[in-house]
Amino acid sequence: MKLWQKIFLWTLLIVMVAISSIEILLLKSNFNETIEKQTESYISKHAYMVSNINNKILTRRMQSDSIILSRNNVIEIIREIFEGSGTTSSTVVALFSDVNQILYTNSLIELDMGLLEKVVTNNSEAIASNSSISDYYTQLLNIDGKTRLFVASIVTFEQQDLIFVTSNDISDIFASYNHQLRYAKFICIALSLVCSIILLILVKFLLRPLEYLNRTTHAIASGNYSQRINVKTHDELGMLADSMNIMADSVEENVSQLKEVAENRKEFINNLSHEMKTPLTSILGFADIIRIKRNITAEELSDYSSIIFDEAKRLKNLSGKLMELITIGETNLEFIEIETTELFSQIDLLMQPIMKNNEMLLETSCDNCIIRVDLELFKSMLLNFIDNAVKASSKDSMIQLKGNFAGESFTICIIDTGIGISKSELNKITEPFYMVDKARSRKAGGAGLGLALCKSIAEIHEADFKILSEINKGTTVKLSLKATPVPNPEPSSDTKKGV
Amino acid sequence: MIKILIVEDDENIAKMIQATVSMSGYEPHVCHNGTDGLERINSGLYDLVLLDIMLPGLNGFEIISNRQNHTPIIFITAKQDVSDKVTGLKLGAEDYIVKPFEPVELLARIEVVLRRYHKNEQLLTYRDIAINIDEHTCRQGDAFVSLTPKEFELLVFFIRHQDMAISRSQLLSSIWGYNFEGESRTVDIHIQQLRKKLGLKNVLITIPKLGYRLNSEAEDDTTFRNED
Repeated sequence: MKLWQKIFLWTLLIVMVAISSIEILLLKSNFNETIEKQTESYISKHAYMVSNINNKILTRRMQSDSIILSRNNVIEIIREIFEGSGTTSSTVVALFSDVNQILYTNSLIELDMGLLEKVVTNNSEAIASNSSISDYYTQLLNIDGKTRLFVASIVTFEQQDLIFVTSNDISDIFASYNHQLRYAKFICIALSLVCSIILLILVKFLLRPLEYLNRTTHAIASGNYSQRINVKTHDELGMLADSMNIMADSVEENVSQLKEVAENRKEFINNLSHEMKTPLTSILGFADIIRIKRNITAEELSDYSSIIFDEAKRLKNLSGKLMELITIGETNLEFIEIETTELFSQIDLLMQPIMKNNEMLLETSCDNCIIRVDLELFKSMLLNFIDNAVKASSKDSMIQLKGNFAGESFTICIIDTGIGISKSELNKITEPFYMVDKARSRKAGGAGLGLALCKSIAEIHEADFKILSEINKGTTVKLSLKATPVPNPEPSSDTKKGV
Repeated sequence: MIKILIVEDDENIAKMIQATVSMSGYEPHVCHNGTDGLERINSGLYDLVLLDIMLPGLNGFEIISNRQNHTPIIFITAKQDVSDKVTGLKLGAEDYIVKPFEPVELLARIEVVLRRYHKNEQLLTYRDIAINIDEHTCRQGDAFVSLTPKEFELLVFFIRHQDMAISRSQLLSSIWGYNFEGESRTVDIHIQQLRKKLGLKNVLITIPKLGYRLNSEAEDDTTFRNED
């Protein structure tokens, strides 16, 4: 069963029970009160009749000048009272001398002997002691579909204890009660109907966000991760929607990250296979030509075999770089503290022969401080950057290697005035296998992995690295990492070396 | 002579393709970028184009969709995706060959395409043997030699690939259309028949571990390589 149905039915049930029980209780107490009042009024009427009879007996006694009237005289008087004058015909009167012996009645209605017995037994003591009796006994009885109220009492007429009973029809009270009950039922049903309609609309309206929530969640679950739940209420549903949105956010983020990783991996493998196939094609082709061709000349043979050698070397280079890239984070890194001037002079020493070959100038300047690096990796990264600068520059140009210590960080700049890199290429150059100028890079034996490696090394050293470049004006590589000052500060050394 | 344009950015591969097609006696022309390649295709001077897909300037797909004539094109590429293959063939390429490939395979594909365009020579001569491909006849001197269809195709294949060692599996795939090795006995029997019918014992020779080769002239000692 759905939640809205449950809420609706339970609420309806409780409301109906509450309304009807309150109605019934009210009616009941009202009815009881009425009955009580009626009973009281009939009792007083009964008492009045008794005193009336007594009066008549007194009068008769005086008229007939006798001390005591006979029982028959008393009955006569009673008959006169109830039949002669215009007494209310609805009142039935009966006079008993004993339970079984009726002395007088003005009606044919069968009187309840039980009531009489009760009156007699309960008052036997009182009768015995001859004291005056003022207790009245009442009982409601259904006779011929009518409800009658019987009032009985012991009366003493002319020293005789008799039972005097009056009975009145009070069916109209019951009829009015039943009528009210029916009316209450009708009201209860009508009220429930109105309540149920209002409830239905209310529940539906309040729970409407749930349905929307459900639909949207389904959509998200089935892969539409960008979908969000737009519930603006401030109740629990709104809170739930907010939580679900947060969940969807993180799911979407994770999924897109996973997708990106998968995409990158696919791209990487595609590029790798391309980079491997290119030298392989030359190797396979030339090797096969040497194998199958008759009359191959010595010149061709040396030409072809040197191409095979070069391409095989390229493959070797590629596989080496690839292994480096893959294992870079896994190998045991050995972080040591080194003074930057020491590092720069080592770099300078390593670069000198290359600078000489290319007829270029390397200018280094450095503030001395201490950095924590894996020396081999860090050096290979710097050499790679300088090597790139050399490749981009023409003869007789100058490459600057600068180190600045400021605050807590050491910034290394490698500045060249070479061909530069266009903006659109800048974002891609750190991607594996990306080469700005394929032909040139291939000739230089590049695999397109250099900057990707540098990026990984920079990441290991938690160094920020940026490449700024402008076509035909040159490129600046900026690398900054954490540094500490040298314990015994020496004046910053400026070295200038060149060819 | 059949002129073949090679559009390939890697110099060494271009050189290899050049060496391969010249083995079959085609005239190779090389260019290294897409823009240049398209211009030269549009000149209509070539019988066939061997086109790389990843090229500087225009890529292979752009070239094939922008060319102004119907020079047959064979794609040569490192991309192995089926989707690339489909794209290439849909754009009107004749064939698609994936790097790395064996030179003889490339030659066989070139031949199929040239045959489709009726550009290869219909009359072949080898020493005293004259072949008319259209008429499916083979004459030695003045006498007609009767050859079975497979023997005939085999002979044509060898004459077109003179001085090249051809493996049995290459023969099987080019002539019988099999893509597996194992039926190499079939090749051997047909070779023996050819040798017998045309007296090619000294020129259609067995190369150990490789296959067979039809020499353009009888074996002599002038070649620096020592066969057998």
